[in-house]
Amino acid sequence: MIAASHIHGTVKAAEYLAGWQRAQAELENIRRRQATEQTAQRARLTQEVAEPLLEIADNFRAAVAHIPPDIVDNAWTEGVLHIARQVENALTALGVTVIEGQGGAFDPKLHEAVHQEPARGKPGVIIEVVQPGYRVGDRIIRPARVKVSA
Amino acid sequence: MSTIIGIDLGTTNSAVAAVVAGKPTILENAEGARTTPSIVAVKNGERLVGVVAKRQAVVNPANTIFSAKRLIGRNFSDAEVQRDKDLLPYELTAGSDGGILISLGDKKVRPAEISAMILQKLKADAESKLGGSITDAVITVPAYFNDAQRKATKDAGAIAGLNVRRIINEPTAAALAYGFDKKKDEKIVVFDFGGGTFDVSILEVTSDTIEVLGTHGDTHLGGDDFDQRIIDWIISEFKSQQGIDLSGDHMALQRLKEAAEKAKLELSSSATTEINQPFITTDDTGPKHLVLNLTRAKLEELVSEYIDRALTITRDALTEAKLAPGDIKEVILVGGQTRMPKIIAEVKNLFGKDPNREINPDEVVAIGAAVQGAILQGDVKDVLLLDVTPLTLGLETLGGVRTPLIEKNTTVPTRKAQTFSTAADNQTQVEIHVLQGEREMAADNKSLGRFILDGLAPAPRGVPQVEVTFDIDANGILSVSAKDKATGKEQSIRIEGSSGISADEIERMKAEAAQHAAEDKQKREAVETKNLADQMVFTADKTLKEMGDKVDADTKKTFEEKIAALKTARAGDDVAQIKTAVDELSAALQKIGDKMAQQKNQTNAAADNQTKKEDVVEGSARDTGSGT
Repeated sequence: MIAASHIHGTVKAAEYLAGWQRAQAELENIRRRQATEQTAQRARLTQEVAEPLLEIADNFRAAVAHIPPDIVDNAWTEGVLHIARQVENALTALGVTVIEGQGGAFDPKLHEAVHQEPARGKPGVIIEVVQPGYRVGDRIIRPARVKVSA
Repeated sequence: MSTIIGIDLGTTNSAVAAVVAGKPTILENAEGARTTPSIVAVKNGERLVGVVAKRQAVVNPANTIFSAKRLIGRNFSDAEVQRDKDLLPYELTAGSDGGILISLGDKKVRPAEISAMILQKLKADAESKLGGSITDAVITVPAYFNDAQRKATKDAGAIAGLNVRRIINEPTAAALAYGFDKKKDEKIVVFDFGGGTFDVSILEVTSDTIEVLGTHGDTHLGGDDFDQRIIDWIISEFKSQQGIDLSGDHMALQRLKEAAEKAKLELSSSATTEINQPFITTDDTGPKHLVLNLTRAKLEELVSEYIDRALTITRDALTEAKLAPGDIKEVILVGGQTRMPKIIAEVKNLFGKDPNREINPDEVVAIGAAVQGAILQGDVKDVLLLDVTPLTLGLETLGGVRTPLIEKNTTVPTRKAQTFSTAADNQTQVEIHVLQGEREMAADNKSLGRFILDGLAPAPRGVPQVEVTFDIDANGILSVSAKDKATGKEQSIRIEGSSGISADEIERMKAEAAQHAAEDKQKREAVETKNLADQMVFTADKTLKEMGDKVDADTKKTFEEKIAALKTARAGDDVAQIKTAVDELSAALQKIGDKMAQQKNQTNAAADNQTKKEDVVEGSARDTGSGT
C-alpha cells in the first residue's frame, strides 16, 4: 500500500514538474515575443489611424489632376492644394511612407498589378502608378496599384 | 514536444492558430495579416504564396493557382472538375492515374503540392511567430470531403514537412472552438457562409466523439457573390445617372470592388451607407463623381436570392437528417458573410434561438483546430487547472467600508499584500474581517471569516503597520494572514470554501452589485468623508493644544470655531456640509501652520546666540507636532 501510493506520488510529482517547467518556458517565450509584438501592435494602430486618410489623399490627388485650366492660377485653388498637402503631411507625421515605382520593375511585395498592357521596352515594368501605395516600416498598408508592361 | 498548430486550409483564405499560454490564438502571417490567401504563383522561377501571389495574378494568370482546394483528391474526369475547369485561368490536364495535374511554370504539379506550398508558408510564419520549430499540425477539411480528398490533404501536410496528427471536419473544429465537445447527446448545426462556398452541417455530440449526421452545401455560393451584386447595382445606378458604363473601365472597377466590400461591411453595423468615389471617371464634359446611398434594406433585396438559397439548403439538410429545427440545441455561425444582420436574423428565425457568433467567424475553424491540437498534446488538462476567482476578496476597514485586495477574475494561484494601520490611539488589537463580493459596504458582502491580531504596542493611531496578505492556491483555498511589522506577531485564517459558491449565486451577487453601484458609492463616500472629518478634528485638537499662546487670541478663536463647526457637521448626515467644514478647517490649519513656522524661524534666529544643541531638539519636536 505504502509503496503503491509512493509510486503514485512520484508519478504525480513528475507530471507536475513537467507541467510547471512547460509553464515557465512558455512564460519566457511570451516575454520574448512581447517586444516584437509591441512593435507590430504600434504599426497596426498606425495603420488603423492612417487607412481612412488614404482614401482622402487619393481623392485629393484625383482632384488636383483634374483642376479646370481656367482656375489653375486662382488663389482659392492654391488654398485647396495646401489642404491636399496637409493630408500628405499628416500621413508622413504618422510614419507612413509612399510606395511609387513608376518605370521600375514590378514587385508584388510592394505593388499590385491591376492591368497589363503592351508597351515599348522591357516587359514587367511599371508603366503607370494608378494609385500609390503606403507602408509603415515593413508593413504594407496598401500596395501601389500599377499597370505593368506586357 | 513543440506546439501542435491548427490550420484552416480554406478555398480562398487560410488561417493558423495555436494554444499559447492556455489560450487558442490566431497567429499572424509574415505580412501581419490574420488570414492568408490560398494562392500560389511562380514568377521568373520564384515561388510566391499568399497575398504576394494574389497581387501579381493579373500579369501572370496562367501561373497563379487559386482554389486548389476545389481540385484536391479529385479525378480529372469528375463532373465538378470539368465544370470548374472552364472557370480557372490556369491549365489542368489528366495524370496517368486519372488524377489532376496543374501546369505551374515549366512543371506539372498535383493539387496536393499546391496545398503543400500554402502549408509550408503557414508553417514558416507560425514558426517565426512562436519562435521554435513546428512539426505537428491538425488540418481541417469540409465535412463532405471523401477519403481520397482527406488523404490528399494529409499528403499535402507531409510534403510541407508537417506530421499531420489529425484531419478534422471544419464544423467539428467550430464546435470545439466553442467547447461544445463537452455537451452530451446534443445536436448542433454549423452554418458556414464563406467567401466562395456555403456549407451547413448537423453534428451530434456523443460521450467521446463529435459525429457529422449530415452536410449540405453549394460550392459556388458565397460572400463574393454578394459583392458582385453590389457592384452590378452601382454600375447600373451610375449608368442611369450619368449615362456612362463603368463595366469596361478596369480602374474604376477596381475602386468599385473595394467600395462594394466596404459598403457591405458598414451595412452590418449601420442601416445606411454612402458610397463616395469622387473622380471615378471623366468624359468630354469633365470629371464624374460617384455618390450613392445604399440602405441595408436595398442590400437585402439585392442578395435575397442567395440568402433564400442558403436557407433552403439548411432546411433540406434538416429534413434529410429527419430532424426538426427544435431538435437543434446550438447553432454556430462560421464565415465572414454570417456577420450580415439579415443572415443572423434568418438563422435565428429558422431555429428559434440566437446563434453562437462570439468567436470571429473567419477564425473559428482555425481556433478549433488549435484546440484539437492542444487536446492531442494534453495541454487542455493543464488549462483546466487554472481557475479565476469569481468574486472580489477584501476586508472590512474603518467605518464599515469594504477594501478590495484581490479583484474578481484574477487567475489563481495568486497573492496580494497590503499594509493597514489602527483607527484609534493606543489600539492594541485589530480585527481582520474577510469579505467576498462586489459591494462597497462591508455589510453587503458575504463574510468568509474573521480573526483578531492582538498584542500591538500602544501607539498613536495610524502609526502601527499591519501587513495583511491574501493568498489563494491553485485549489482555490484562501489563506489570510495579518502581521504586526513592529513585533513580528502574526495571526492567520484558512478559508476552504471561498470558491464554493454556486454559479447562480455568483451571478446574483454580481447583478446586485451592479444594481446598487450608485447607492453603494454614495454610502462609501459618506463614510470616507466622516473618517476624514474625524482625522481632521483629531489633528486640529492636537495642534490647538501645542500652539498654546504662540498665536494671537483672534486666530485661536476663529480656529476653535472652525473645529466646533466641523464637529457639529460631523454629527449630522449632510455629506456636502461635512466636506465644506473639512475644507475650511483644513485651510485654517494651514494658515496656523504657516504662522507657527514663521514664529519658529524667528525663535531659531534669536536662539542662535544661545546653545545650539537645545535649539535643534526644540525645533524638531515642533516639526513633528505640526506635521501630524
